[in-house]
Amino acid sequence: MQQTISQPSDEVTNIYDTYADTLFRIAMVHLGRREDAEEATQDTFIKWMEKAPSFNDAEHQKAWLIRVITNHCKSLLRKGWRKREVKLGTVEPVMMDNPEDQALIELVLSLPVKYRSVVHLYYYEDYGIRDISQILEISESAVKMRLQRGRQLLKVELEGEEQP
Amino acid sequence: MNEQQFKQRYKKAVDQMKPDDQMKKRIEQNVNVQRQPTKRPRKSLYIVAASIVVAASIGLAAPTVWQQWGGTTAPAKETALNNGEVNQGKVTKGETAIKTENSNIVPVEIPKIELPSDDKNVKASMIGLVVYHGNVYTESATTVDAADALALRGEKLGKTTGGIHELSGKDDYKELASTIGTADIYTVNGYDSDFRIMSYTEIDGQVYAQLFDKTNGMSISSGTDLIGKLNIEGHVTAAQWESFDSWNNGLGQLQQLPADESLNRFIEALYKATPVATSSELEERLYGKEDRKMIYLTLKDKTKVQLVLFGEEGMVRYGHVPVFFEVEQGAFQQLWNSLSK
Repeated sequence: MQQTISQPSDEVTNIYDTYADTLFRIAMVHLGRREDAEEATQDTFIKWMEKAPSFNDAEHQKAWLIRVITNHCKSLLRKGWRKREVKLGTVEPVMMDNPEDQALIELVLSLPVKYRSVVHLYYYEDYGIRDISQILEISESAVKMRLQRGRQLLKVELEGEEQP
Repeated sequence: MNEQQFKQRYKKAVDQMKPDDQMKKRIEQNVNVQRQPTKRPRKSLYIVAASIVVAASIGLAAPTVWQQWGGTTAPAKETALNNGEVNQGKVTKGETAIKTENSNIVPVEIPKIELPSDDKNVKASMIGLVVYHGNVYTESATTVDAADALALRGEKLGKTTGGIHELSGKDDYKELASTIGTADIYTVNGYDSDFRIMSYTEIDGQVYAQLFDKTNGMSISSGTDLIGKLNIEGHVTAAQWESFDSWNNGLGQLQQLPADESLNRFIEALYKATPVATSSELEERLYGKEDRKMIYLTLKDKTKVQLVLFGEEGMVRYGHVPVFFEVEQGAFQQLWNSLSK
Protein backbone atom coordinates (compact mmCIF):
# COMPACT_ATOMS: atom_id res chain seq x y z
CA MET A 1 0.00 0.00 0.00
CA GLN A 2 2.95 2.30 0.31
CA GLN A 3 3.10 4.70 -2.56
CA THR A 4 5.59 7.09 -3.89
CA ILE A 5 4.46 10.55 -3.05
CA SER A 6 3.98 12.37 -6.27
CA GLN A 7 1.69 15.33 -5.77
CA PRO A 8 3.00 18.46 -7.45
CA SER A 9 4.37 20.91 -4.92
CA ASP A 10 2.11 23.73 -6.10
CA GLU A 11 -0.89 21.61 -5.41
CA VAL A 12 0.41 20.83 -1.94
CA THR A 13 0.79 24.53 -1.29
CA ASN A 14 -2.67 25.23 -2.58
CA ILE A 15 -4.19 22.51 -0.47
CA TYR A 16 -2.33 23.74 2.56
CA ASP A 17 -3.40 27.33 2.05
CA THR A 18 -7.00 26.32 1.52
CA TYR A 19 -7.48 23.80 4.29
CA ALA A 20 -4.78 24.20 6.92
CA ASP A 21 -6.85 26.41 9.19
CA THR A 22 -9.88 24.15 8.99
CA LEU A 23 -7.90 21.01 9.67
CA PHE A 24 -5.85 22.56 12.42
CA ARG A 25 -8.97 23.74 14.23
CA ILE A 26 -10.56 20.32 14.01
CA ALA A 27 -7.41 18.79 15.43
CA MET A 28 -7.30 21.39 18.19
CA VAL A 29 -10.87 20.62 19.17
CA HIS A 30 -10.00 16.95 19.38
CA LEU A 31 -6.50 16.96 20.80
CA GLY A 32 -6.45 20.22 22.72
CA ARG A 33 -2.81 21.07 22.21
CA ARG A 34 -1.14 23.07 19.50
CA GLU A 35 1.80 20.81 18.79
CA ASP A 36 -0.42 17.74 18.63
CA ALA A 37 -2.84 19.52 16.35
CA GLU A 38 0.00 20.58 14.10
CA GLU A 39 1.30 17.04 13.89
CA ALA A 40 -2.15 15.69 13.08
CA THR A 41 -2.54 18.33 10.38
CA GLN A 42 0.78 17.37 8.92
CA ASP A 43 -0.09 13.69 9.00
CA THR A 44 -3.30 14.44 7.16
CA PHE A 45 -1.49 16.23 4.35
CA ILE A 46 0.98 13.38 4.10
CA LYS A 47 -1.86 10.91 3.94
CA TRP A 48 -3.45 12.95 1.17
CA MET A 49 -0.21 12.79 -0.79
CA GLU A 50 0.27 9.11 -0.17
CA LYS A 51 -3.19 8.08 -1.18
CA ALA A 52 -3.50 10.62 -3.98
CA PRO A 53 -7.26 10.29 -4.04
CA SER A 54 -9.22 11.81 -6.89
CA PHE A 55 -12.07 14.11 -5.99
CA ASN A 56 -15.21 15.19 -7.72
CA ASP A 57 -14.89 18.77 -6.56
CA ALA A 58 -13.55 21.00 -3.82
CA GLU A 59 -16.31 20.07 -1.39
CA HIS A 60 -15.52 16.40 -1.86
CA GLN A 61 -11.87 17.10 -1.21
CA LYS A 62 -12.62 19.13 1.90
CA ALA A 63 -14.92 16.43 3.22
CA TRP A 64 -12.25 13.79 2.66
CA LEU A 65 -9.62 15.79 4.51
CA ILE A 66 -12.00 16.45 7.40
CA ARG A 67 -12.84 12.78 7.63
CA VAL A 68 -9.21 11.76 7.64
CA ILE A 69 -8.11 14.21 10.31
CA THR A 70 -11.14 13.47 12.46
CA ASN A 71 -10.51 9.77 12.31
CA HIS A 72 -6.82 10.29 12.85
CA CYS A 73 -7.46 12.32 16.00
CA LYS A 74 -9.97 9.78 17.28
CA SER A 75 -7.54 7.00 16.59
CA LEU A 76 -4.85 8.77 18.58
CA LEU A 77 -7.18 9.40 21.49
CA ARG A 78 -8.48 5.85 21.40
CA LYS A 79 -4.98 4.54 21.72
CA GLY A 80 -4.43 6.65 24.78
CA TRP A 81 -1.86 8.67 22.92
CA ARG A 82 -0.90 11.57 25.14
CA LYS A 83 -4.08 10.93 27.01
CA ARG A 84 -2.60 12.19 30.23
CA GLU A 85 -1.58 15.48 28.70
CA VAL A 86 -4.89 15.99 27.00
CA LYS A 87 -6.75 15.97 30.27
CA LEU A 88 -7.70 19.44 31.15
CA GLY A 89 -5.73 21.06 33.89
CA THR A 90 -2.54 19.26 33.05
CA VAL A 91 -1.71 21.30 29.98
CA GLU A 92 -2.57 24.57 28.40
CA PRO A 93 -5.11 23.40 25.86
CA VAL A 94 -5.33 26.66 24.01
CA MET A 95 -5.27 30.21 25.18
CA MET A 96 -8.22 32.38 24.28
CA ASP A 97 -8.48 36.12 24.32
CA ASN A 98 -10.88 36.22 27.22
CA PRO A 99 -12.00 33.94 30.06
CA GLU A 100 -15.46 33.41 28.59
CA ASP A 101 -14.07 32.03 25.35
CA GLN A 102 -11.59 29.97 27.32
CA ALA A 103 -14.35 28.47 29.42
CA LEU A 104 -16.44 27.68 26.36
CA ILE A 105 -13.61 25.92 24.57
CA GLU A 106 -12.72 23.96 27.68
CA LEU A 107 -16.35 22.93 27.97
CA VAL A 108 -16.37 21.65 24.40
CA LEU A 109 -13.05 19.90 24.95
CA SER A 110 -14.56 18.13 27.94
CA LEU A 111 -17.16 16.43 25.72
CA PRO A 112 -16.66 12.80 24.76
CA VAL A 113 -14.81 12.86 21.48
CA LYS A 114 -17.60 11.49 19.34
CA TYR A 115 -19.87 14.36 20.39
CA ARG A 116 -17.09 16.89 19.94
CA SER A 117 -16.63 16.02 16.24
CA VAL A 118 -20.29 16.43 15.44
CA VAL A 119 -20.71 19.60 17.49
CA HIS A 120 -17.75 21.21 15.77
CA LEU A 121 -18.81 20.29 12.25
CA TYR A 122 -22.37 21.42 12.92
CA TYR A 123 -21.76 24.66 14.77
CA TYR A 124 -18.46 25.80 13.34
CA GLU A 125 -18.28 24.38 9.85
CA ASP A 126 -22.06 24.76 9.34
CA TYR A 127 -22.51 21.31 7.92
CA GLY A 128 -25.97 19.76 7.98
CA ILE A 129 -26.86 16.40 9.46
CA ARG A 130 -26.63 14.59 6.16
CA ASP A 131 -23.28 16.17 5.30
CA ILE A 132 -21.84 15.19 8.66
CA SER A 133 -23.19 11.70 8.21
CA GLN A 134 -21.35 11.43 4.92
CA ILE A 135 -18.16 13.02 6.14
CA LEU A 136 -17.87 10.90 9.27
CA GLU A 137 -19.50 7.92 7.58
CA ILE A 138 -21.90 7.27 10.35
CA SER A 139 -25.65 7.10 10.11
CA GLU A 140 -27.73 10.26 10.14
CA SER A 141 -29.46 9.05 13.26
CA ALA A 142 -26.10 8.66 14.97
CA VAL A 143 -25.23 12.24 14.02
CA LYS A 144 -28.50 13.46 15.42
CA MET A 145 -28.09 11.52 18.60
CA ARG A 146 -24.56 12.77 19.13
CA LEU A 147 -25.58 16.32 18.42
CA GLN A 148 -28.43 16.07 20.84
CA ARG A 149 -26.31 14.57 23.59
CA GLY A 150 -23.61 17.11 22.91
CA ARG A 151 -26.12 19.87 23.37
CA GLN A 152 -27.35 18.34 26.58
CA LEU A 153 -23.85 18.18 27.98
CA LEU A 154 -23.13 21.72 26.86
CA LYS A 155 -26.47 22.84 28.25
CA VAL A 156 -27.38 24.41 24.95
CA GLU A 157 -31.10 24.89 24.80
CA LEU A 158 -33.30 24.70 21.76
CA GLU A 159 -36.66 26.37 21.86
CA GLY A 160 -39.47 23.86 21.83
CA GLU A 161 -37.16 20.92 22.20
CA GLU A 162 -38.34 17.84 23.98
CA GLN A 163 -35.90 15.26 25.13
CA PRO A 164 -36.38 11.75 23.74
CA MET B 1 -27.42 29.66 26.64
CA ASN B 2 -29.54 29.20 23.54
CA GLU B 3 -28.32 27.61 20.36
CA GLN B 4 -27.67 30.82 18.46
CA GLN B 5 -25.68 32.29 21.33
CA PHE B 6 -23.63 29.14 21.56
CA LYS B 7 -22.95 29.11 17.85
CA GLN B 8 -21.80 32.72 17.79
CA ARG B 9 -19.60 32.34 20.84
CA TYR B 10 -18.17 29.05 19.66
CA LYS B 11 -17.29 30.43 16.23
CA LYS B 12 -15.67 33.45 17.81
CA ALA B 13 -13.62 31.29 20.15
CA VAL B 14 -12.56 28.77 17.50
CA ASP B 15 -11.61 31.56 15.11
CA GLN B 16 -8.83 32.33 17.52
CA MET B 17 -7.31 28.91 16.97
CA LYS B 18 -4.91 29.57 14.16
CA PRO B 19 -1.78 27.74 13.20
CA ASP B 20 1.24 29.91 13.74
CA ASP B 21 3.16 31.32 10.81
CA GLN B 22 5.93 28.79 11.16
CA MET B 23 3.65 25.79 10.88
CA LYS B 24 3.50 26.00 7.12
CA LYS B 25 7.29 25.99 6.90
CA ARG B 26 7.62 23.10 9.30
CA ILE B 27 5.03 21.08 7.47
CA GLU B 28 6.58 21.86 4.10
CA GLN B 29 9.94 20.71 5.36
CA ASN B 30 8.53 17.51 6.72
CA VAL B 31 6.43 16.94 3.65
CA ASN B 32 9.48 17.39 1.48
CA VAL B 33 11.20 14.66 3.45
CA GLN B 34 8.20 12.46 2.82
CA ARG B 35 8.29 13.30 -0.87
CA GLN B 36 11.55 11.42 -1.31
CA PRO B 37 10.86 8.33 -3.43
CA THR B 38 11.59 5.96 -0.62
CA LYS B 39 9.09 3.82 1.07
CA ARG B 40 7.89 5.40 4.19
CA PRO B 41 7.93 3.20 7.26
CA ARG B 42 4.45 2.42 8.36
CA LYS B 43 3.65 4.13 11.60
CA SER B 44 0.65 3.36 13.63
CA LEU B 45 0.25 7.10 13.91
CA TYR B 46 -0.89 7.22 10.36
CA ILE B 47 -3.50 4.58 10.53
CA VAL B 48 -6.86 6.24 10.39
CA ALA B 49 -9.70 4.63 12.16
CA ALA B 50 -12.38 2.38 11.02
CA SER B 51 -13.05 2.00 7.36
CA ILE B 52 -14.83 -1.06 6.36
CA VAL B 53 -14.98 -2.47 2.93
CA VAL B 54 -17.54 -4.99 3.92
CA ALA B 55 -20.08 -2.54 5.23
CA ALA B 56 -20.28 -0.92 1.87
CA SER B 57 -20.49 -4.23 0.14
CA ILE B 58 -23.96 -4.87 1.49
CA GLY B 59 -25.33 -1.49 0.78
CA LEU B 60 -25.12 0.13 4.16
CA ALA B 61 -24.26 3.37 2.52
CA ALA B 62 -26.92 5.46 0.86
CA PRO B 63 -26.45 6.40 -2.79
CA THR B 64 -25.58 9.90 -1.78
CA VAL B 65 -22.61 8.53 0.07
CA TRP B 66 -21.41 6.81 -3.04
CA GLN B 67 -21.80 9.93 -5.03
CA GLN B 68 -20.02 11.89 -2.36
CA TRP B 69 -17.10 9.56 -2.33
CA GLY B 70 -16.63 9.25 -6.03
CA GLY B 71 -18.82 6.35 -6.97
CA THR B 72 -21.41 7.04 -9.61
CA THR B 73 -23.48 4.01 -8.87
CA ALA B 74 -23.49 1.51 -6.12
CA PRO B 75 -21.70 -1.71 -6.95
CA ALA B 76 -24.10 -4.46 -7.84
CA LYS B 77 -23.06 -6.63 -4.97
CA GLU B 78 -24.03 -3.91 -2.57
CA THR B 79 -27.69 -4.49 -2.90
CA ALA B 80 -29.60 -7.30 -1.40
CA LEU B 81 -31.41 -8.88 -4.26
CA ASN B 82 -34.88 -10.26 -4.56
CA ASN B 83 -34.05 -13.75 -5.51
CA GLY B 84 -36.92 -14.26 -7.91
CA GLU B 85 -34.96 -16.72 -10.01
CA VAL B 86 -34.64 -19.24 -7.26
CA ASN B 87 -38.31 -19.15 -6.57
CA GLN B 88 -39.28 -19.20 -10.22
CA GLY B 89 -41.67 -16.42 -9.39
CA LYS B 90 -42.27 -13.43 -11.58
CA VAL B 91 -41.34 -10.21 -10.00
CA THR B 92 -43.62 -7.41 -11.08
CA LYS B 93 -41.75 -5.35 -13.63
CA GLY B 94 -41.14 -1.73 -12.85
CA GLU B 95 -41.75 -2.18 -9.17
CA THR B 96 -39.58 -3.25 -6.38
CA ALA B 97 -42.36 -5.07 -4.64
CA ILE B 98 -41.74 -8.74 -4.77
CA LYS B 99 -45.02 -10.51 -4.83
CA THR B 100 -45.14 -13.27 -7.36
CA GLU B 101 -48.08 -14.13 -9.55
CA ASN B 102 -49.24 -16.52 -6.89
CA SER B 103 -48.85 -13.86 -4.21
CA ASN B 104 -46.06 -15.83 -2.65
CA ILE B 105 -43.53 -13.57 -1.05
CA VAL B 106 -40.04 -13.95 -2.38
CA PRO B 107 -37.77 -13.54 0.62
CA VAL B 108 -35.21 -10.80 0.59
CA GLU B 109 -31.85 -12.39 1.13
CA ILE B 110 -29.34 -10.20 2.91
CA PRO B 111 -25.97 -11.78 2.31
CA LYS B 112 -23.60 -12.36 5.14
CA ILE B 113 -21.03 -9.65 5.40
CA GLU B 114 -17.96 -11.19 3.90
CA LEU B 115 -14.64 -10.41 5.38
CA PRO B 116 -12.57 -8.19 3.17
CA SER B 117 -10.41 -9.45 0.37
CA ASP B 118 -7.05 -7.97 -0.38
CA ASP B 119 -8.58 -5.82 -3.06
CA LYS B 120 -7.61 -2.40 -1.84
CA ASN B 121 -9.45 -0.75 -4.68
CA VAL B 122 -12.83 -1.63 -3.32
CA LYS B 123 -14.72 1.38 -2.05
CA ALA B 124 -14.61 1.69 1.68
CA SER B 125 -17.34 2.77 3.98
CA MET B 126 -17.17 3.22 7.69
CA ILE B 127 -19.51 2.15 10.40
CA GLY B 128 -19.14 0.89 13.95
CA LEU B 129 -18.78 -2.87 14.03
CA VAL B 130 -17.73 -5.77 16.19
CA VAL B 131 -16.75 -9.23 15.00
CA TYR B 132 -18.30 -11.94 17.16
CA HIS B 133 -18.45 -15.66 16.40
CA GLY B 134 -17.20 -14.91 12.92
CA ASN B 135 -20.11 -12.59 12.22
CA VAL B 136 -20.07 -8.86 11.78
CA TYR B 137 -22.39 -6.92 14.10
CA THR B 138 -22.95 -3.33 13.10
CA GLU B 139 -24.05 -0.25 15.00
CA SER B 140 -27.71 -0.62 15.87
CA ALA B 141 -30.50 1.81 15.07
CA THR B 142 -31.77 1.04 18.55
CA THR B 143 -30.25 3.04 21.35
CA VAL B 144 -30.19 2.92 25.10
CA ASP B 145 -29.38 5.69 27.52
CA ALA B 146 -26.34 5.20 29.68
CA ALA B 147 -28.47 5.12 32.81
CA ASP B 148 -30.50 2.20 31.49
CA ALA B 149 -27.68 0.23 29.95
CA LEU B 150 -26.66 -1.67 33.07
CA ALA B 151 -30.05 -3.38 33.31
CA LEU B 152 -29.67 -4.60 29.75
CA ARG B 153 -26.17 -5.86 30.24
CA GLY B 154 -25.98 -9.64 30.22
CA GLU B 155 -23.13 -12.09 30.19
CA LYS B 156 -19.69 -10.80 29.34
CA LEU B 157 -18.43 -12.12 26.03
CA GLY B 158 -15.02 -10.51 26.02
CA LYS B 159 -13.21 -7.34 25.19
CA THR B 160 -12.85 -5.86 21.75
CA THR B 161 -9.40 -5.33 20.41
CA GLY B 162 -10.08 -2.57 17.94
CA GLY B 163 -7.67 -2.65 15.10
CA ILE B 164 -9.94 -2.71 12.09
CA HIS B 165 -9.27 0.19 9.82
CA GLU B 166 -9.45 1.00 6.17
CA LEU B 167 -6.31 -0.96 5.38
CA SER B 168 -7.34 -4.08 7.24
CA GLY B 169 -7.18 -7.37 5.47
CA LYS B 170 -9.00 -10.58 6.24
CA ASP B 171 -6.49 -11.55 8.89
CA ASP B 172 -7.36 -8.47 10.91
CA TYR B 173 -10.98 -9.54 11.29
CA LYS B 174 -10.33 -11.74 14.28
CA GLU B 175 -12.78 -12.57 17.01
CA LEU B 176 -13.86 -9.39 18.81
CA ALA B 177 -11.91 -7.19 16.48
CA SER B 178 -13.78 -3.94 16.04
CA THR B 179 -13.75 -0.41 14.84
CA ILE B 180 -14.74 0.93 18.25
CA GLY B 181 -11.46 0.64 20.05
CA THR B 182 -11.31 -1.32 23.29
CA ALA B 183 -14.63 -2.03 24.96
CA ASP B 184 -16.22 -4.81 26.96
CA ILE B 185 -18.82 -6.76 25.01
CA TYR B 186 -21.88 -8.37 26.58
CA THR B 187 -25.01 -10.21 25.63
CA VAL B 188 -28.15 -8.11 25.88
CA ASN B 189 -30.83 -9.27 28.28
CA GLY B 190 -33.98 -10.21 26.41
CA TYR B 191 -32.30 -10.53 23.02
CA ASP B 192 -30.70 -13.40 21.20
CA SER B 193 -26.95 -12.92 20.97
CA ASP B 194 -27.18 -14.24 17.43
CA PHE B 195 -28.88 -10.94 16.70
CA ARG B 196 -27.75 -8.37 19.25
CA ILE B 197 -24.78 -7.71 21.50
CA MET B 198 -23.69 -4.58 23.32
CA SER B 199 -20.59 -2.71 24.35
CA TYR B 200 -20.48 -1.36 27.87
CA THR B 201 -17.57 0.56 29.28
CA GLU B 202 -17.16 2.88 32.21
CA ILE B 203 -14.52 5.58 32.02
CA ASP B 204 -14.12 7.97 34.92
CA GLY B 205 -17.59 7.04 36.10
CA GLN B 206 -19.19 7.75 32.74
CA VAL B 207 -20.96 4.90 31.01
CA TYR B 208 -20.54 4.31 27.30
CA ALA B 209 -22.95 1.74 25.94
CA GLN B 210 -23.93 0.86 22.44
CA LEU B 211 -25.98 -1.86 20.81
CA PHE B 212 -24.78 -3.82 17.80
CA ASP B 213 -27.05 -5.92 15.58
CA LYS B 214 -26.26 -8.68 13.16
CA THR B 215 -28.53 -7.77 10.29
CA ASN B 216 -26.73 -9.66 7.57
CA GLY B 217 -26.74 -13.29 6.56
CA MET B 218 -30.48 -13.43 6.94
CA SER B 219 -33.58 -14.16 4.91
CA ILE B 220 -36.52 -11.82 5.36
CA SER B 221 -39.97 -13.00 4.35
CA SER B 222 -41.93 -10.53 6.44
CA GLY B 223 -41.44 -7.80 9.00
CA THR B 224 -41.30 -10.42 11.71
CA ASP B 225 -37.95 -11.67 10.47
CA LEU B 226 -36.28 -8.35 11.27
CA ILE B 227 -38.64 -6.11 13.21
CA GLY B 228 -39.71 -9.07 15.30
CA LYS B 229 -36.19 -9.37 16.65
CA LEU B 230 -36.54 -5.91 18.19
CA ASN B 231 -39.26 -7.10 20.60
CA ILE B 232 -41.51 -4.18 19.80
CA GLU B 233 -44.92 -5.82 19.77
CA GLY B 234 -46.61 -5.54 23.15
CA HIS B 235 -43.63 -3.78 24.69
CA VAL B 236 -44.04 -0.14 23.69
CA THR B 237 -44.35 2.09 26.73
CA ALA B 238 -43.97 5.46 25.04
CA ALA B 239 -43.68 6.82 21.54
CA GLN B 240 -42.62 10.02 19.90
CA TRP B 241 -42.33 11.24 16.36
CA GLU B 242 -40.29 13.82 14.54
CA SER B 243 -40.80 15.70 11.31
CA PHE B 244 -38.29 15.47 8.50
CA ASP B 245 -37.38 19.12 8.91
CA SER B 246 -36.61 18.71 12.58
CA TRP B 247 -34.72 15.50 11.99
CA ASN B 248 -32.72 16.78 9.04
CA ASN B 249 -31.64 19.87 10.88
CA GLY B 250 -30.97 18.11 14.13
CA LEU B 251 -33.51 20.20 15.98
CA GLY B 252 -34.73 17.34 18.15
CA GLN B 253 -38.30 18.59 18.12
CA LEU B 254 -39.91 15.38 19.24
CA GLN B 255 -43.64 15.23 19.64
CA GLN B 256 -45.67 12.82 21.65
CA LEU B 257 -47.32 9.93 19.87
CA PRO B 258 -49.98 8.09 21.84
CA ALA B 259 -49.12 4.45 22.39
CA ASP B 260 -52.68 3.54 21.51
CA GLU B 261 -54.62 1.18 19.31
CA SER B 262 -53.57 2.99 16.14
CA LEU B 263 -49.93 2.44 16.95
CA ASN B 264 -50.55 -1.16 17.94
CA ARG B 265 -52.33 -1.78 14.65
CA PHE B 266 -49.41 -0.26 12.78
CA ILE B 267 -46.91 -2.45 14.60
CA GLU B 268 -49.00 -5.51 13.95
CA ALA B 269 -49.10 -4.60 10.25
CA LEU B 270 -45.36 -3.93 10.27
CA TYR B 271 -44.71 -7.45 11.51
CA LYS B 272 -46.73 -8.75 8.57
CA ALA B 273 -45.28 -6.28 6.07
CA THR B 274 -43.83 -7.27 2.73
CA PRO B 275 -40.06 -6.89 2.48
CA VAL B 276 -38.66 -4.95 -0.43
CA ALA B 277 -34.96 -5.19 -1.13
CA THR B 278 -33.19 -1.91 -1.41
CA SER B 279 -31.79 -0.80 -4.71
CA SER B 280 -30.18 2.38 -5.87
CA GLU B 281 -33.31 3.27 -7.84
CA LEU B 282 -35.59 2.72 -4.87
CA GLU B 283 -33.35 4.67 -2.53
CA GLU B 284 -33.08 7.53 -4.95
CA ARG B 285 -36.85 7.61 -5.18
CA LEU B 286 -37.42 7.43 -1.44
CA TYR B 287 -34.58 9.64 -0.26
CA GLY B 288 -35.11 12.15 -3.05
CA LYS B 289 -38.26 13.31 -1.32
CA GLU B 290 -38.81 14.75 2.07
CA ASP B 291 -42.07 13.06 2.97
CA ARG B 292 -40.41 11.17 5.75
CA LYS B 293 -41.24 11.01 9.42
CA MET B 294 -39.37 9.33 12.19
CA ILE B 295 -40.96 7.48 15.06
CA TYR B 296 -39.19 6.57 18.27
CA LEU B 297 -40.58 3.70 20.27
CA THR B 298 -39.48 3.33 23.87
CA LEU B 299 -39.83 -0.26 25.00
CA LYS B 300 -40.25 -1.72 28.45
CA ASP B 301 -36.54 -2.45 28.65
CA LYS B 302 -35.87 1.28 27.93
CA THR B 303 -34.38 0.64 24.52
CA LYS B 304 -35.44 3.18 21.89
CA VAL B 305 -36.21 1.90 18.44
CA GLN B 306 -36.12 4.37 15.60
CA LEU B 307 -38.10 3.68 12.45
CA VAL B 308 -38.26 5.82 9.33
CA LEU B 309 -41.61 6.12 7.59
CA PHE B 310 -41.80 7.01 3.90
CA GLY B 311 -45.22 8.52 3.34
CA GLU B 312 -45.83 8.35 -0.37
CA GLU B 313 -44.63 4.79 -0.72
CA GLY B 314 -46.06 3.59 2.56
CA MET B 315 -42.79 2.00 3.52
CA VAL B 316 -40.79 1.65 6.71
CA ARG B 317 -37.08 1.14 7.25
CA TYR B 318 -35.09 0.15 10.29
CA GLY B 319 -31.57 1.58 10.39
CA HIS B 320 -29.45 0.88 7.35
CA VAL B 321 -30.57 -2.69 6.86
CA PRO B 322 -30.91 -2.99 3.08
CA VAL B 323 -34.59 -3.76 3.13
CA PHE B 324 -37.77 -1.71 3.30
CA PHE B 325 -41.14 -2.90 4.54
CA GLU B 326 -44.30 -2.18 2.63
CA VAL B 327 -46.97 -1.91 5.28
CA GLU B 328 -50.68 -2.51 4.74
CA GLN B 329 -51.99 0.85 3.60
CA GLY B 330 -54.83 1.25 6.06
CA ALA B 331 -52.64 0.79 9.11
CA PHE B 332 -49.83 2.86 7.64
CA GLN B 333 -52.00 5.78 6.60
CA GLN B 334 -53.84 5.90 9.90
CA LEU B 335 -50.57 6.29 11.76
CA TRP B 336 -49.05 8.61 9.14
CA ASN B 337 -52.02 10.94 9.25
CA SER B 338 -51.83 11.12 13.02
CA LEU B 339 -48.27 12.42 12.77
CA SER B 340 -49.05 16.04 12.19
CA LYS B 341 -48.68 19.17 14.19
